[in-house]
Amino acid sequence: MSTDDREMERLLREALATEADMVHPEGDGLMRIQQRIGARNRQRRWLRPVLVLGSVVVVAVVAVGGVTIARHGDKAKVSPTNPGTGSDAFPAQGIFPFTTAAEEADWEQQYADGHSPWPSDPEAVATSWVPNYLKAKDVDQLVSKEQTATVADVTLGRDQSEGGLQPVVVVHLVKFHQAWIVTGASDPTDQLRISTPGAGDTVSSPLTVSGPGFGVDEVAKVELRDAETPSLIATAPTDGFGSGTSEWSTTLSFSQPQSAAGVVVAMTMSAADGGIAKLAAEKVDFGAAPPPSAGAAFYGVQGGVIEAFNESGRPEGPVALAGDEGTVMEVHKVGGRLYFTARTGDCITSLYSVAATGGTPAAVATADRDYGIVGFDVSTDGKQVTYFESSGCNQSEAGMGRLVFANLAEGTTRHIDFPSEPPVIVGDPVWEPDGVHVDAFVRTGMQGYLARYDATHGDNETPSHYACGEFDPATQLTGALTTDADGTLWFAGQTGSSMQVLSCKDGQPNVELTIPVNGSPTSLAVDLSGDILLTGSDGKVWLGSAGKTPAELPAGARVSSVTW
Amino acid sequence: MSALGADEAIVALYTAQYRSLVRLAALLLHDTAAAEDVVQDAFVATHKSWRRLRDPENALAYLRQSVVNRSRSRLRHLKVEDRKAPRPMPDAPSAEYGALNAVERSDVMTALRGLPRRQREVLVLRYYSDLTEAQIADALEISNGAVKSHASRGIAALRDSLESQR
Repeated sequence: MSTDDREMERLLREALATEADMVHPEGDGLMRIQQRIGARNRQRRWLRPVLVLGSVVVVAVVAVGGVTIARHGDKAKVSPTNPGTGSDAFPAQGIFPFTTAAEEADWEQQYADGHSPWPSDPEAVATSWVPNYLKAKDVDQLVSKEQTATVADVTLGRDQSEGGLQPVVVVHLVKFHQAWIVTGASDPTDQLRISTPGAGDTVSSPLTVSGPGFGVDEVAKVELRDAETPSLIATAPTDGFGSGTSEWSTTLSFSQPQSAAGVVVAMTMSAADGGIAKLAAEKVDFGAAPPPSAGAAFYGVQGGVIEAFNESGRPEGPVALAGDEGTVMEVHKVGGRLYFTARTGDCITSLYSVAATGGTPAAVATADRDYGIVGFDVSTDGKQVTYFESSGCNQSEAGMGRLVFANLAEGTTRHIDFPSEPPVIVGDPVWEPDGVHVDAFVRTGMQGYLARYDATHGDNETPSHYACGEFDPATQLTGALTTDADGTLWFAGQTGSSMQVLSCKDGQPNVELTIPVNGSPTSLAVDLSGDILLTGSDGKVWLGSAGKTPAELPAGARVSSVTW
Repeated sequence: MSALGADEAIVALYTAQYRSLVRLAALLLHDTAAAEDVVQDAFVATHKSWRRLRDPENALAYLRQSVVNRSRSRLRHLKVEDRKAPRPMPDAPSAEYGALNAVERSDVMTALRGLPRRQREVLVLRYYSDLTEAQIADALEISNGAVKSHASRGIAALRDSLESQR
């Protein structure tokens, strides 16, 4: 360090001390803090005994844990159901990584080709499911494993700062062909159990969940999750359960999801650090999927909320969200679910998903600290997301970006750094249907190109320069990109006097639609029959298809993002 | 496990730390009233989380982190919502404060406010709060290495900025 730097340090220290000495807090700080704490406690008086006694629970469990286990020993193991079905019938209570024999068969094919070996390892399946799908934070450490040729119990725990590794859950798995399938999970001490509904029951809203628990003025939390994606459908605390072993209960309300299978999860929290102490889970079925809501032909973002539009393009009313995610910025519909980004402060920090019929959104991905999500896409199977995050939303930092590929099933992410902007990805990066390649429009100052990335490489992947043959978009592309179900890449651009939609069939660009308005496309969606939706920077929505005259839809207020 | 209940702990922390935390927030926010609000919010949050913290040492680290985070979001809020200038701290006569004259001090503070947020936070925690690198890393949830580099870049940037003013 130079003398100049030392001198600077001295100056700074002195300036800060002087400046700080001039700050004289009012004398009533403590009173104001106490008033606010008091007000909160009056509002929540019923919680107070639980909070105070909470610390006793840990002591009680540690002190009498052995006794309790012995007492419940005779019915301790909630063993995996139907372990004897062997490799012929898919386990009825199979939750993860597959819920049907067909899904498993698809994987067998990939496995034979040398891809995705993890479902063949019970430990890998358990450590993927609990933190990534049940979102049980930090419960990813192996405590023990018991395994036969057809059945495995994997006990996972959590590093608790002072108590070391604490067992939290026993994941039960059965072997089906070459895959290990989760069939349920129980509390390692078997104190917390779910007795209603039964594993494999068909459930509907309102759903009462109850079971025995052990503790002193303990409260459990119950969640209903989608079995096929890492999405929360509903959650509620239980009523308090008293001294010793007693019954807890709660009721969940939810809109019926599109997927067929769900997971009911019950958990208690550690009084020591607020993390998960015990967890039990079982599969439930949702029965036949509800008919798609009658009026919704497509969805869009209008005035910061997700709006359903009918076939004539008129708004039908917003999709009801039970959370407070903030101002919705962009929406995509994939397999009956809406994926959306929302903003609460300067930056769009999270990507959520919710049933297309509405409900409680679940966080799917979160931007790195100080980054905001600019554009995103979800793979057609809902298991991978890609997004471009930029620090440009935070004005005090220099602009840096990252293209992220997140595999939700495996809980892994890869990213490609954009150390200074430009170059920068404009609009959405989009998945090709192979779930391997991602196309994006990269702007390099005044110029740009259509890049094609391999998401399985990540880190230092150099993109193929052109995602569409030799097509060089130069400056006209806007970043309104999408892929249709056949894998064709579509993109929209501005030509000076009009907006154009191009498809990349057979690796070559074809102009499919020309909209005679001088504007910049902001969002593009193409459905199976080739119907094209486009929004421009003026917030108008256009509907067209190849060779037909496009029509402006009566969408009302500005629409900033559309999805079929 | 600490013998202190949450209520007693809050009083003890208030007595020992309130003034210096308000000053820390005021240096980050350049607004005394906002600084008091932020610190009071942080105390209420600490009381709420007491069951998880349990220990005065943890609680102080939590408080500090909470003050820095809340100051940051307050600044952002000001920047985004109305861009109104925060109410400045009172200017007091400087003669009694030793060698640094008011002009120099104000130049240093102006230059400090011009730094990127992270550098500013690291410098204030280091040269006002006298925290160690590890404590700063903890309060800002960044690595020790990042603390070091923000500090050295911050000092260099301050120096450049002051030199260019002269």
